[in-house]
Amino acid sequence: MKRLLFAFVILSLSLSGFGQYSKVVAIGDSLTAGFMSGGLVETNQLNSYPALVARQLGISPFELPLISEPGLPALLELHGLLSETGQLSPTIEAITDDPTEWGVPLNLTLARPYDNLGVPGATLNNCLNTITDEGGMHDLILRGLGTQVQQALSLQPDLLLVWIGNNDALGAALMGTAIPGVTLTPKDVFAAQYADLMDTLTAGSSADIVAGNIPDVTTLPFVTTVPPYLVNPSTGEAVIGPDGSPMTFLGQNDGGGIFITPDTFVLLTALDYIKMGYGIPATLGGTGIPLPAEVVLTPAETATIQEYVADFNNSIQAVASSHGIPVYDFAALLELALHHGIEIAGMTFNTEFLTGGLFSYDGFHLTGLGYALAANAFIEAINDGYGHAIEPVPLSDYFFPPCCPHARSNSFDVEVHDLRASILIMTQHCKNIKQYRELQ
Amino acid sequence: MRSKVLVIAGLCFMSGLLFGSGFGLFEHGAKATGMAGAFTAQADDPSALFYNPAGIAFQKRSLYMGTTAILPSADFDGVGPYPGYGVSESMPDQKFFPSNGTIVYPLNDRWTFAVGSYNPFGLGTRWEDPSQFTGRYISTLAAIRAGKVQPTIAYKPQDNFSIAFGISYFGAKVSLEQYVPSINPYTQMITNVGHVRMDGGMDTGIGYDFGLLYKFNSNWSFGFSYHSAIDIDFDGTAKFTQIPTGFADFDAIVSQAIPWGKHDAATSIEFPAVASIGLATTAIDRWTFEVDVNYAGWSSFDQLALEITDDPELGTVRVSDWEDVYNYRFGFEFRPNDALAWRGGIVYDESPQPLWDVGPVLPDSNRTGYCAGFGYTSGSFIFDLGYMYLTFDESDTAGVSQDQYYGTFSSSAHLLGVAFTYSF
Repeated sequence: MKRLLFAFVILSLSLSGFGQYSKVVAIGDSLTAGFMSGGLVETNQLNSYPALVARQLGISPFELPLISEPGLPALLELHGLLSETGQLSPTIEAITDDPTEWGVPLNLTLARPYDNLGVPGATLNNCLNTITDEGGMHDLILRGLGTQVQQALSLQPDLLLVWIGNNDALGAALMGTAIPGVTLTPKDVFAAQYADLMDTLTAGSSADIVAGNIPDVTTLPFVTTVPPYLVNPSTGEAVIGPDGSPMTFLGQNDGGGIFITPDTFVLLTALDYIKMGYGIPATLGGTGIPLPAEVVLTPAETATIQEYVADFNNSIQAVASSHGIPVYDFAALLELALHHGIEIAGMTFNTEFLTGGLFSYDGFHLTGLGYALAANAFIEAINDGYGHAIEPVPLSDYFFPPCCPHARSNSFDVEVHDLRASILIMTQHCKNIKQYRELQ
Repeated sequence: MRSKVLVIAGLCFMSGLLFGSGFGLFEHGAKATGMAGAFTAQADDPSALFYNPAGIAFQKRSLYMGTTAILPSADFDGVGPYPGYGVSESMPDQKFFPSNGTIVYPLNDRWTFAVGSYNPFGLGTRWEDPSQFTGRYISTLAAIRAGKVQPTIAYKPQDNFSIAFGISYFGAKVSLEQYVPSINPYTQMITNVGHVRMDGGMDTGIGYDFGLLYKFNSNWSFGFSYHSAIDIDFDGTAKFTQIPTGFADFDAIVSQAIPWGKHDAATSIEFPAVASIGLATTAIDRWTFEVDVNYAGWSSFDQLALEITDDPELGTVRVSDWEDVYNYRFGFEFRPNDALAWRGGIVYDESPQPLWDVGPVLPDSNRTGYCAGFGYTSGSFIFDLGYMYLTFDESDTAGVSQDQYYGTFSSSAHLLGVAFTYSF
């Protein structure tokens, strides 16, 4: 048996691309850090995409800024799918709202920089220039030892994973507000800083570099899940207005009207407001107060963010090409997931909230399964770009339980909220969104 | 006499759940199996109904019964991305018994009638621990049972030449099983939410058979045989069974998402035409040698479509695009005396299945068979034993699988045929 095991180990060493790199370092943002369901936690950080790539390369240790359970901030959990009236209306809440109960750093005393330097919330500018943020995520992960770029170079990697720029454009979606120069990094600044980033990395190291790009805002369930329509909580049907068409929520309208237009995206963060009666006319039992501007993306805002994402991706591609750096096309992966689904052995993964398999409970960050797919896309880019044969992450490890640290037991309490308008979520909604897109 | 024939035919009809190139079977007689199936130009026992119907024209009144035990084994070793390196799967031990029962009845010097039944096609792909098998959303079971009854008339215009014509009453059943996946919103992982079983048949079709045998002289003979393609439309049921996940509200949503229960279902399979030519010689005293080439028109198998009559959206179409193939066979027999015969042979069998179609439904590949056999004659009785060890080339689907199910399938099979011939 032992001999068999030994033979197996030898075989796996020879087949899986072990030894092709000896030091891998990642810089980036929350998607690099392994952020999931609203927080950072050890079990998910160990399955962050850079950790998976390192594992496939046989590199150990791969040092991470690990955080204990229940995460920092505490992770979100699903408490129930149905409303009191039986309509689809998931209840998702943090494990605890008390910050004193949140997770704490477990690897703070490591005497050298972490190998995964991804900082949740980091922009391209942060990556290049930020050392401290006065007690925020940067301090937790960078620990005053230098910027992400400085620390990465000091580790003398032979493989550098660089996935940065998501917050420069999609931060605007999280905030529901697209203001160039404020919530969106100016295009010329992004282009110059990205060139600066790659010039610095290639000048300061001989590592092979792989870059990732930025997804379209309309591929994120954070944006696409909540329909713009008022829904009757007892029937689940859209409320029909006096003009015979479904009524939309009260809220920001590019043309100045009081109702949002059907092609407005209502963000996941709007759910708390809708539950309190915001966006619903007083005649229908709501407060009559419009949804705040920061929880909707008007068509003009969406178009602006899309324009910036496209421009940033062009900059990423142009700079990468000039250095001969392969680019992992995350945007294309999510487009495929949105329009066709990613099909694997009879299973289909898409961008739907809760049932699509790719996005976690925050609707913005990936699941373990989504990060495993991202790791494989990076591995494919490395293999194609540098002529290696690194074995992909075995996806079956991430498809089936047991895995998830926050998988709940079979007994749980369904918390039912008093909803003035129930929100039909999941499949039906994404269909609506697709219809809008087709109409446009 | 007639009723006995029907009983034999009935037995054989139901006995096979089988295994062959594509899903064809070539093992219908222990004597032929011992010579790797190189038997078209000999066809000198009642298994000729398959190998070359014209052979019955030279035979005495006889009753033939035989079966072949097929013991296949198959393993799968995964690579990435799915299911991934380190994942192994296997098929459980199975035994199949394609069988043959035939009566040959010469009517006069020129005309001979025979009727027999055998299992020309069969498939039995099933996977160990199906509810956890990593390919369970593609297929956990694919089974085809096929049998036919073939009344045949042969005419011998000269003592060295015969032709034969037969009608095939063909019947088949098909069964397919797989699981239905969903993301469990609570675990954010894949879980089984349902199981589907499709059962089709027994449905029937009619085909025809042709044979020709020509003996150039006392030492050389030539044979040709042809079995027509047979198209079968299967009407059956597809049963969708929900599997509870333990999360009541999720199960309630799933229960509304899919029309669970039994639905009328239909599929069709065109079983291919099979043709053979063979050349045999007895030029060396006490020895027989034969070489054969067989053709199977597997391009008929271009897709497997499952139609759910009342809910077309639930149906599936799996494109296969198989190819026509040739098999090459060599066999010999040595007769130290009038009672004994020792046999051997080798066969190279091309797979009709393109590599991208190789998967949990059917992992076929080119195979090589090594054969040995033994025959003993005592008065009116002949006893034959034939053994074949079949090794399959490994099929590596890395990067090409249409199921996105990547890895190496390796298979082998032991086949042991036994047959009795009684002349009366």
